[in-house]
Amino acid sequence: MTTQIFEPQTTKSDYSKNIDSLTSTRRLLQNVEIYILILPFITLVILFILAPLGWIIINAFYNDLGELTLGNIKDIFSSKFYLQAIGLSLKISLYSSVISLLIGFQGAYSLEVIKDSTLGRILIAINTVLSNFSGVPLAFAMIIVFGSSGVMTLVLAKLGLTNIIDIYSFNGILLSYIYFQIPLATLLLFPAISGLEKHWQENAYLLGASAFQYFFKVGLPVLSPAIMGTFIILFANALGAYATAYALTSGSFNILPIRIAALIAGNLTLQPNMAAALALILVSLMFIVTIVHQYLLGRYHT
Amino acid sequence: MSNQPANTINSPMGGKQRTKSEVNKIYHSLYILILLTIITIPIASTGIYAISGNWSQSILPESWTFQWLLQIWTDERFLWACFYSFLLCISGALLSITLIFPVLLIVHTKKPHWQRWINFVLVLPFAVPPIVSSIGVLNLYSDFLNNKIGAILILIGCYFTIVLPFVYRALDSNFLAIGVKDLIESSNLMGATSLKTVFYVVMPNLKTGFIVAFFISVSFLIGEFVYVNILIGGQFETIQIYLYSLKNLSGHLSSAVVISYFFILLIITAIINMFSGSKRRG
Amino acid sequence: MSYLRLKNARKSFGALTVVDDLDLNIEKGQLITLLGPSGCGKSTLLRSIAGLEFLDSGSIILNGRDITHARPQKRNIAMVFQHYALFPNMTVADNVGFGLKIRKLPIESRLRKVKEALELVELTEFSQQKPAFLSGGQKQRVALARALVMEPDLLLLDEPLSALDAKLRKSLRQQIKHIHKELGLTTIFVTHDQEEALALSDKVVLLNKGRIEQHSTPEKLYSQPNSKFTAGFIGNYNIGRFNCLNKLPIGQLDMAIRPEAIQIDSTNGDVAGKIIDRTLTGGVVRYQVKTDEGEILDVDVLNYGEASKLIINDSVYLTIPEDEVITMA
Repeated sequence: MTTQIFEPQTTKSDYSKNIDSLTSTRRLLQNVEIYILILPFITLVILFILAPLGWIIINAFYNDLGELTLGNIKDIFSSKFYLQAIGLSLKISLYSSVISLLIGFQGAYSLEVIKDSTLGRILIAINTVLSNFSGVPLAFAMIIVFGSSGVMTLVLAKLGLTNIIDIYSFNGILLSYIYFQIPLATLLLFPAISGLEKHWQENAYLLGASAFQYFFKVGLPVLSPAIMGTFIILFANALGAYATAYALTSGSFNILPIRIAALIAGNLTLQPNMAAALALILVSLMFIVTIVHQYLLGRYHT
Repeated sequence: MSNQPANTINSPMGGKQRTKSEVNKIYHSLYILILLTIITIPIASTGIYAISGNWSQSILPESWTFQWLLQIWTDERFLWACFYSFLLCISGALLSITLIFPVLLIVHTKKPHWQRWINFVLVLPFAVPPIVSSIGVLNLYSDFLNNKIGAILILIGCYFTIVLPFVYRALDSNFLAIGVKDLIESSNLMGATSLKTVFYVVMPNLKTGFIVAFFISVSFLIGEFVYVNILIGGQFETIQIYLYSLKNLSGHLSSAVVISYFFILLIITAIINMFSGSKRRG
Repeated sequence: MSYLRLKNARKSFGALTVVDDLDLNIEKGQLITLLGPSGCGKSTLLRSIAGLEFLDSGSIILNGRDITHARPQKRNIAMVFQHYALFPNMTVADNVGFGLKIRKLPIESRLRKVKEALELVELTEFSQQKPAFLSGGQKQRVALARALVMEPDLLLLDEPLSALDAKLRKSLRQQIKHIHKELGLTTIFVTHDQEEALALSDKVVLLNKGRIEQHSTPEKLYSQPNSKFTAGFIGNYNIGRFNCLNKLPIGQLDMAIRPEAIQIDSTNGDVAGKIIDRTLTGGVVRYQVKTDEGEILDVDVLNYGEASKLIINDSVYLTIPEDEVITMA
């Protein structure tokens, strides 16, 4: 800007001075336009994500009498019932995510290999549909197959295997979770595996590496951010899942989402503050998992 | 000699062998086929149950009938549930696209450095799942939830948060594919105002993105259960709520609903695939 | 009076100054090339002239009008982009006529002008096609037609040929030159390819780090580089402090000699040496000669006659005309 001070005043006419102020007004208007355009978006984000989140964070620390207290949290951690809910939630999320990840990884890999054939295209489409088929419809379908008079149950009984799967138990619900997590895992890992350049593999072979060595020294490390990212999404998805377990057990399975719902929309007493506390714990669990993920990403990603 | 397909080789003992990559492909096809067959057993069984008459102890039904499907598709309650489901899903999808499109426009032209904040916002729906935000929504907006119109509006707002990341991603990839910055600059140089440019140049080239975003939203929202179950308290029903109400009644009827729902999903996915494919080709 | 006048133009992106207090004058009807390595500011300068970026300070005056703060819509400047920027949803004819539609030209004149423009770039038979069906070269010609049809005061081309293959580049270059001669439109062309710059322009503006290194005709730029940077960028100059030229004061000055200006012979000459490398580039043979005193010089000869038949390890003699040695500070 110093050049303007020493510059002979030949360029600034009245005309251009007017243009200058016009421009700054115009720039201001442009910025106002921009903020108006994004206002509805921001409003909805605030109203339906941030405000409720804020409400939960605040109200977790109030009790029914309106006093600020840590009582809710204390009650949760001293109650066997609530601790079981937390434990089961973590357990089912962890198990279903890991198993789905392993099966889905091979699934994505296999899909990538056959993706150009007609069969491949059909299977990709079916996979996409299945990843959306969760919740109440899935629960009902599972009951029809594995319920007390379900198809599979009868088939297995004919073969002499009874009581293999109780769909209303932990294992049954785990099975249901895996059913909708596998297509999701496949869908999420597919782009990453497609991104593995074929000539890396060819290069590795030329340099003498076996398929095994290539996989563990090149393929897996390159894919690890995508794998970890997928795991996080699967885990968060399972942790927050409500409809499937609810529909299977009519709300009697003890996991956090069902516990929370029971406290705000159940037939018993309304305990919004306790529900908020439980929700806070749920969100914190997700937060911790995300932090660990970011940390691992930072450490292992060059 | 030259009539053989490229992937077969002559083995020294005479006859032909498949090459390694052919074997590979078979293995992979088999894995996926088996995997997806196992996964479709529940749906297939449901489908069979929906059109079976008597099916108590044998592997396949004893009799077949379309009466269950007929029954639900003529049931006024079910049809109302369908109406509300589609009303909510379509409104949610349209609202989300309308609100998110301007944001993308701005990020791709004037304020690219906002991308970091946007990425944070896109992660929020995963970090704050419906079961969590519904507590806050229930308590903050209880007044609005008392009447039908209010409940519908609040639901649509909640639905916005569910589909937000997917709509953004679908539109974003279309934006990237068309080189929107050059198009806008070119149009501006030829005298078109920003408004004209958006309507005549930008939006016509985003048709694929809009369609994919719309149908992805609908496919997510149609399976939504948490918000409706907790927030609307029986004022009206969606397909999911209706289905749940059939739980301890007839298994045949609920199967009919499930299989109908599955086919709706199938159609929506087919449409999505149709348009994502053409995006890649073009 | 210059047609386009930039005065004290300055533009920074954060801490990086991309256009550094630049003055530029262009006469009407000239084809000027902005040439330079990546990051020298040529594209930024072009975009500032177009109004797609705004200068931090300085002024731009076009045809007597101060356009420093005018929006791109109002500058009557047309631009051809490196990646064509054709509207995929419109036919070629609609693309070309878009600007005229905005100007609300009546249909008959619009259609007539579009037709003329397409004839100029020889794409009449593609007028109803969508851009997706055109090749790169064809797309660029549509972009050119779209710019020309606006009858702008100034035509800007931002590396328009960089995305095309070599043969196409040459033919399109010729077309641009031909169209320029026919229409007499003041044109600014940005490129990093010096061959393009030398072949096309009336004048070349060589930029380095946001400043103008040299602004002259192609001949002068090539044979009389004014600085070490210019000599290093243009052509294949031998640059150094050559003792073998003992007729000239050596001092602290760098010298530059064009390889084709040095005469090479097996028997006669001033400076003795040996060929240490030989490269054939088609019409030209390049020898790398090490003088008896250990200095290395590139010498070019046409691939024809005795001089082109020398081989590695041959003893040779070089003669360097005094007036071909350029000294620079």
